[in-house]
Amino acid sequence: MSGTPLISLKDVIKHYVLGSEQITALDGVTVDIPAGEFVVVLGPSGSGKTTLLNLLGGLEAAAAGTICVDGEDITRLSEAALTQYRRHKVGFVFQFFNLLPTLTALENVDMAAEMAGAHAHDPRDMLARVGLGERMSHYPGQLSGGQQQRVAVARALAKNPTLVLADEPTGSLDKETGIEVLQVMRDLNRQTGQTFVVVTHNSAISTIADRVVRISGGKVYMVVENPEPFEPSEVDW
Amino acid sequence: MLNSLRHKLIGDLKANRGAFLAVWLTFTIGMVFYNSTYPAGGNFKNLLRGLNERTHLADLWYDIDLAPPAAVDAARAAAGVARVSGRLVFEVGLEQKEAETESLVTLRVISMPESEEDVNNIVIQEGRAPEDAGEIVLMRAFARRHDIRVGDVLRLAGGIAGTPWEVEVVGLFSSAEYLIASRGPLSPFPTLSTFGVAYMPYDALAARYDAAGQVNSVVLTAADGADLTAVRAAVTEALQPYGIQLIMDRLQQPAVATLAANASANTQIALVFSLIFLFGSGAVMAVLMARQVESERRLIGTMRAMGSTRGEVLGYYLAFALIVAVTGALVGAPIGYLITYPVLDFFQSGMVGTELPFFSNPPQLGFMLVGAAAGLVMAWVAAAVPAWRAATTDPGLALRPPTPSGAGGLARARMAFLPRTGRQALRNLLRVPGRTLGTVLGATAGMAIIVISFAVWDLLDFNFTHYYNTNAYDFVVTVAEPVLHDVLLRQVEGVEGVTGVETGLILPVTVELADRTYTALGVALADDREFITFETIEGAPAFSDKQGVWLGNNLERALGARVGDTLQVTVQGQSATVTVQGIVKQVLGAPMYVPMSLLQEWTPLGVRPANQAYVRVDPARRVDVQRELSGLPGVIGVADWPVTTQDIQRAADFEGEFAYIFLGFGMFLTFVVMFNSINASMRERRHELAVMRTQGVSMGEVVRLVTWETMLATGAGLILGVLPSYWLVQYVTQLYDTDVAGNVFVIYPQTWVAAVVILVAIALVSQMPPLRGVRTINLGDVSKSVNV
Ligand SMILES: Nc1ncnc2c1ncn2[C@@H]1O[C@H](COP(=O)(O)OP(=O)(O)O)[C@@H](O)[C@H]1O
Ligand SMILES: [Mg+2]
Repeated sequence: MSGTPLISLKDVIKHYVLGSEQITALDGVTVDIPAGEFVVVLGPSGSGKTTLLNLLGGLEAAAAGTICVDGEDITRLSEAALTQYRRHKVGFVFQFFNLLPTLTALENVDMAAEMAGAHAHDPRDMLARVGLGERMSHYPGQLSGGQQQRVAVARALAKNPTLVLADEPTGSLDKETGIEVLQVMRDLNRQTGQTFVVVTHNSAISTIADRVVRISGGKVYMVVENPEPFEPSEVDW
Repeated sequence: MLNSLRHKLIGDLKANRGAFLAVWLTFTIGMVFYNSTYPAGGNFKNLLRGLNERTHLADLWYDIDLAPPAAVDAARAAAGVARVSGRLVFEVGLEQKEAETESLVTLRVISMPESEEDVNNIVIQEGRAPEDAGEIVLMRAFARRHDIRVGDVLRLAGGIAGTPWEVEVVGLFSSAEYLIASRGPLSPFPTLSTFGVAYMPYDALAARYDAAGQVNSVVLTAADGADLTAVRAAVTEALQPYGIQLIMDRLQQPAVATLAANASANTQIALVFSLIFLFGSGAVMAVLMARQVESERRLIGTMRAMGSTRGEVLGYYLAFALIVAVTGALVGAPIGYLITYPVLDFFQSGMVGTELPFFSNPPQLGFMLVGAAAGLVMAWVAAAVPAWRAATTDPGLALRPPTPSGAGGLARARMAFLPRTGRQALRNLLRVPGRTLGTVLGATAGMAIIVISFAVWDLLDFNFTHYYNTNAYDFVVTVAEPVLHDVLLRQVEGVEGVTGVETGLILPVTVELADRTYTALGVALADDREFITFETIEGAPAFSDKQGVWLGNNLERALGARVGDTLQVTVQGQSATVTVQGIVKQVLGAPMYVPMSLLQEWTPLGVRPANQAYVRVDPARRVDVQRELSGLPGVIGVADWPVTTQDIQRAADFEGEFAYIFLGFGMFLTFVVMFNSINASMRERRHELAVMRTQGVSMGEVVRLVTWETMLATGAGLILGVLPSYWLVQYVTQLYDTDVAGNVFVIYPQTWVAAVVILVAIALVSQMPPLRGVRTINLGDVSKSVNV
């Protein structure tokens, strides 16, 4: 399923300064991700996965290197252009959900869809697809962690973005729900050709990916193509 | 409290410096203003009361014909009388040092009290007491106004001989009787430009008027607990043989009554503001505390999950509130106390024109404590209720995202007609009302403060400016006994430089309505007069018919009269029944206006009497005309109307400046309140706004959303503030009412507009720094932690 790279990172470096200490979260990352692929980024805790996703999503700025997405170097975008990028090109699923607590499940998804405009998916549809058709009018505080995570997935997918970034989307789900969520993502990936980058520390999940990017200590040390990925339902962890 | 919780408390104070400082500042500034406004007013009243007691201010004043000392003895013998003094009181003209002042100045010269124990003693504040015939002491505020100093020599005109004589000013005094220069019931407001008071030794004054051994003023105090009405009756009977001219008690003696009413009104207003400051800052502190607890739900859940008891959690927040209230009061009260000095100074210079003797400004400890305690209780309740609720929910529930509380009905509506940001703002307001409650309350309190302050100016303008404008003449000439209209007219017109004259008749009348009796001034004016116009508040237009009388708004209030009521009116022993045709606006005095045509129906043969002439003059001959008018036979007074209005305006302006002080305090507090509550609300939603930004919401949209919320909350506060503001202005308006003065209630539309504009501006400015904070949030943190 490989084609022209949608995403191309070159020598990307990201530091954090903590007092007098400098932590290098990403240490010269170079990787290409072709359009339409379902990519899993695999690495232990603290290896820089979330940082990588943040850079891809335009939430943080790299210290050095270039990040080309869809032919555009997003490290050079103005704040206003970055906002448009986040709004229309990226759907982000956070590890800690980050739903707006004052909005119901439907309203959370609705807000994202409304911002994305005409090409967005129907919010009710998306919620139904993640199995929350019955809980649309509940507030995040009234949903379980797994349910919140599914709302977050629906929110990211409803925008119908070019690129979906998911940070440990199954981290707080039980196995069955986790598989369901992955299945929804995989199905959409196949139907729409959207590119998915899914971060996990769970190597079992990597078996469903078209491509696995292995990261450790802020460095990509292996990229493996997977010509015959498993279906999520075939995975066990 | 557990050691770990104590550590958390200290750690929180350090970490949450911003939040703590916001709560603390709001409360402390509230304490400062609370402790500086009312206590200053209270101490001013205490100064007056102290002066009244130490100088034995009279309870009753009797003006009598010249009488031997037996009159004083007769009064002393009456039941219930404590102290009596007899004295001589005369009025003389003061010739100006240089003729730079255009109007005549009258000095009321009174014989010196003989001892400290005399009724209406005076306090020499500069120089010394007069000792021989050529020496006087002068009212201090009057000396200040006319730039007269100790050692100056004045020329006085008056006395039997009629020749001017010179006296040296050897001292300046203040007295409880004449702290302000009110001349008499007809002009209750101080007129320092044209009227002052002086004291000289009895023998010297008596010699000038050929009155050795006699008195014409008897002043007395009633024994403690004596019934003043009974004392008055007894003394009046005792003095009857000596020819009583005028009887006044403290409510009627215009200088005493006007000052007491103003001091009391201003103290009341100061109290209103003190309480607004206290409850405004207390309520906002409460809201901020409640929000603080709300934002720490997760923490409370964690503490509980780790095994803290509910009591420990509660104790922690109560300790937090206690620290705020105690340190806030400890810092705020002394600063507030220091501010009472300039405020008290302002009271003295504004209301009296000079410092009062026996100055003292003790701190009002009880008031301070009550304020601090009220603030603490408000903070405790505000912190305890949500803390207890959070502490009693299952720790697991407390760890979840907060679920909107106000989430029913309207909050659930889709509101598709609104733009997205507007819709979300409204949802936020309806679903998390607590978050913006501080802003709402701030706007409400701010509106009350601004509207009251501006409305005082509205009142002054609406009532006083109108009053000056409805009296369009230069001088009022008063003659001792009523004469025929034609005679007075011809006399006055004969003076060169007079360009117009109208006459009127003023007599004291007794007015009865149902069981109320009131002594008012009856004022009869020509039906077609031009120099005096009226604004009718109610009923038929003034003087539109001769079927009845028109009441000034003060008499209407004092009598409780209504249009159409029938009054029993008694003038000089004769009674008549008249109908109230209408009410006219009249800020000073409590007159009953009678059309001359109606009056003439009551006079023998329908003659037209007059004892007042309203005179217009050629400006070039103003000074000469005034002198000639005062020299006409029978003339006992020539009042310069423009000068009088300036004096009145000076006194009225003080009230306006006084209101500005509160406006300044109030705007500052409002700003602190709005700034802190908007800041707190933004801090609370930092994470939420950051999440929205990660979804591609632009900064512009965030600004729009926050502005919508701020404006909706401010708007709600303004709407809530309308009725309280209206009521407070009504309350403040009637505070100035005395029997002889009172304002007609008004709030100009521009006052409302100004309040709205100012508060919207304050709200917009307040949200700017926290919005700038949102711009700098690191969006990467959103994906790495639960909270930004
Ligand atoms: N904002 C930050 N400040 C300081 N260090 C950070 C920050 N974010 C991440 N780090 C550090 O960078 C490294 C990579 O973090 P992260 O990308 O969150 O790891 P992962 O998601 O793979 O667990 C870690 O060592 C982490 O401690
Ligand atoms: Mg991570």
